[in-house]
Amino acid sequence: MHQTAHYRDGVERFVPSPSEAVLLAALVLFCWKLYGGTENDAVAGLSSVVVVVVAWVVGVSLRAALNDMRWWLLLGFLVALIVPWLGANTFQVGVMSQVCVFALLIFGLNVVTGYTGQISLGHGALVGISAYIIAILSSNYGWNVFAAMTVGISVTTAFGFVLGIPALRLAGPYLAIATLAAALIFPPLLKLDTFEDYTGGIQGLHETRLSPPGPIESFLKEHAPSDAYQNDFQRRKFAEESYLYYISLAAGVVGLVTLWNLGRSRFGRAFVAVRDSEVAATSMGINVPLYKVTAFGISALYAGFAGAAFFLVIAFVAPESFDLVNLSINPLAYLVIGGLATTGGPVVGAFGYMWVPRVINKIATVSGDFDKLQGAMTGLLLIVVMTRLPQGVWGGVRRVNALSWQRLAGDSWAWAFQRSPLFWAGLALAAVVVVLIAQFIGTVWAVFALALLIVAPHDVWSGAGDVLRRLNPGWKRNASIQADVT
Amino acid sequence: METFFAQLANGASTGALYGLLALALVFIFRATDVVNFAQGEMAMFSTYLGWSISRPLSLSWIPFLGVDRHLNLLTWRPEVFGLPLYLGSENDGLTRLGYLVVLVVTVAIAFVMGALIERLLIRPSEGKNLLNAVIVTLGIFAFLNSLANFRYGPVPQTYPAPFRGDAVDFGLFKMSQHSLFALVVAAVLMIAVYVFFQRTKLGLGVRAAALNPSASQLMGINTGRMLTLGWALAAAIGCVAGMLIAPALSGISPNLMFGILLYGFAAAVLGGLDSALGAVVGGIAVGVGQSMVVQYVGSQWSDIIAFGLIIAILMVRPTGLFGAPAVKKV
Repeated sequence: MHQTAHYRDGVERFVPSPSEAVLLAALVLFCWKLYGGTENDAVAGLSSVVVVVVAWVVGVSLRAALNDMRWWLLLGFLVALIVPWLGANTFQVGVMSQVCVFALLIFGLNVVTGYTGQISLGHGALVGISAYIIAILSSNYGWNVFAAMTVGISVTTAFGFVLGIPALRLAGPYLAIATLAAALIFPPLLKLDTFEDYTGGIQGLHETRLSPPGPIESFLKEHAPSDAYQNDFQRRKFAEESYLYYISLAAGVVGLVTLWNLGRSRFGRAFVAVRDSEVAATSMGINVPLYKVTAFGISALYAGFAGAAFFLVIAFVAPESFDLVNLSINPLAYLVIGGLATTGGPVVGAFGYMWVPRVINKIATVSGDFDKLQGAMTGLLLIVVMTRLPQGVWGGVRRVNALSWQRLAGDSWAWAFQRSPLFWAGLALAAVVVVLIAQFIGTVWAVFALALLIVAPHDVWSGAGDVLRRLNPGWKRNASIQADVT
Repeated sequence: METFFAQLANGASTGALYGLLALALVFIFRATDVVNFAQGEMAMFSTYLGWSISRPLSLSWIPFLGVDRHLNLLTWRPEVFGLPLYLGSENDGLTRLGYLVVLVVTVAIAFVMGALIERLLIRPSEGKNLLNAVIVTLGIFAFLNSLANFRYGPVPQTYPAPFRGDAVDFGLFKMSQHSLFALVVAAVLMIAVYVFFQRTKLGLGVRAAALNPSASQLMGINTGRMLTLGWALAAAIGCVAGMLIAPALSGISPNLMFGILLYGFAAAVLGGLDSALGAVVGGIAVGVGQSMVVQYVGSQWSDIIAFGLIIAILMVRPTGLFGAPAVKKV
């Protein structure tokens, strides 16, 4: 995996790097929130300090053992373990379970699109096949859920190999459209009258949710946070949701670990070789068709698990659950947003997939300003992240992680003090325009203008600068800016 | 037999509209190698702009600022050389000349919109992973869809058609004047796109810039300008498609275009993503196939058979019916 560029010795070992400083700051905020509700501020502050000092000491002493990337994942895992106690209600716990479900799907997409470079827009159908088989077997035929899952996942994997066959003949956009066609065929097939007895037609199939075994339920009920879950009903709900959350978390973690290992295994290397150049891969003795189909198969295995987890968590399947945009296009979009062909990227992507629309919805409800423009905000976020972080969020995290204080200081110095006066004049003008828009037209439009400022390539603005420069030949183009542009 | 020909005509005219959208997709694909998911929404949005222009001033001339509500221009009816642009006083009444004026103005706006989208939003992702640009088009898709919902609301608005007379009787089947018009426009645009790419120096430049940016830059082609031009022209074609689709269906609404775009994708891929002829032929094939399936098999089978056939055809001809086989230099 990725190694950070800088190794410290001497006193520097005890100084957190910028990214570690961010982590510690997050920890401070987290502790403050955790203790702040129940104790007074002094206790909250003191315990935050203690936790942070402990984290710092542990971090510094373990830094040699854990390379920096794993830090993030380990911390994420520890936080994930206590998620039911962090959420304010069972709805949020449910959303976190769905994060795990869609993480599995995105892991699968990562194998086929990230590592092997085959664009698939058909994974919604694979998830649907798995979920539907499990639902039909367990509700119509009374199978045990786990036996049904075994069958569902196996059949889905087989379907994945079949879906991989077009990949042998088709490339690029043609493959994307062929798989998209597969995803489009799936929901109408479910709605057909012929299969209605099995699939439940448009209504879909309902199933009672899995309830936790007795001892686990009583343990969870006993330890439910008392301020959020007061009566017995709420506590039982908490136990139910948390149980499902831990099951899907377990599946997600297993998926993550296998994906990590897959990326570094012979298979993973072969996939990347096929992606980068089929000819070169062939000449290295890689059986390209075999690996292409295998990539689809493995990816369908993940999708099958995602379908199983989908069935467990949501306990309801309908043709509309597996529509093109929600289960095929958006997961792929968030995979690219998270970071293609990385291990952490899909995790970030799954979070984004579930939380970005909800957070935007929350902001919209609170501010009441862009209630009807939530979709626009989500779209804008996609554009901004994709343009400014072409390697995805995980690529951005890597860049921040490799940053040292010296580098940070040097970069910001360069950024701030090696610009022409024209740049600052332009920036000030832009700021004034944005403020004016916010004042007279609306905050939303100011946000749009700001996003445009961030996204639009530098040469658009420097092109405008060139026009001004022609008017005033005294302004010289700065060498460092020139390098920046090209 | 009569229903067969009726369905044939019906499918061909819907298919021509799919073909027009596919033509726009082909244009962008040839210019930038990007599959544009926002094409349908761009068409929808520019059609809405056309819709607001096509209404008398009192209703919504200036679509965003809302200034129109404060201006008392109820009685103004613009004319060109003494010829009226509006029929009587109804909201949706445009004369044929008025339709033409609105078409030209809207296509011009769409052209600028396409150029701006490429220059400001797509350009930063060019030369990187191809998926990046595709995700940006998804972002544009969500943005325009939400903006149209916000500005114009989800209720479909009727859109004027230039030819509204009786259906033309061909003996075997009848065809509405609008469908005929759509077919003619699709054919003309197809030929225009073909001529542009194959017979003009500019089209050659656009193709070269997509095929090998660095080499064509060395040959003195302003590749950036070619890409912008490709997007602008595609947006203009998409705008024409939208303005023809809206009156053919129940009118213009924000979610109208995505379903049609999927058929447009199918048409473009069926014909071969780099072939203008293929786009229109593919569109008509998809349209005819769809209406035949609806007539003879059942409407719930239409998507299954249409997209199943596309997979089957792609398996036999991996680059579509008219697409050039992909040749890659190592």
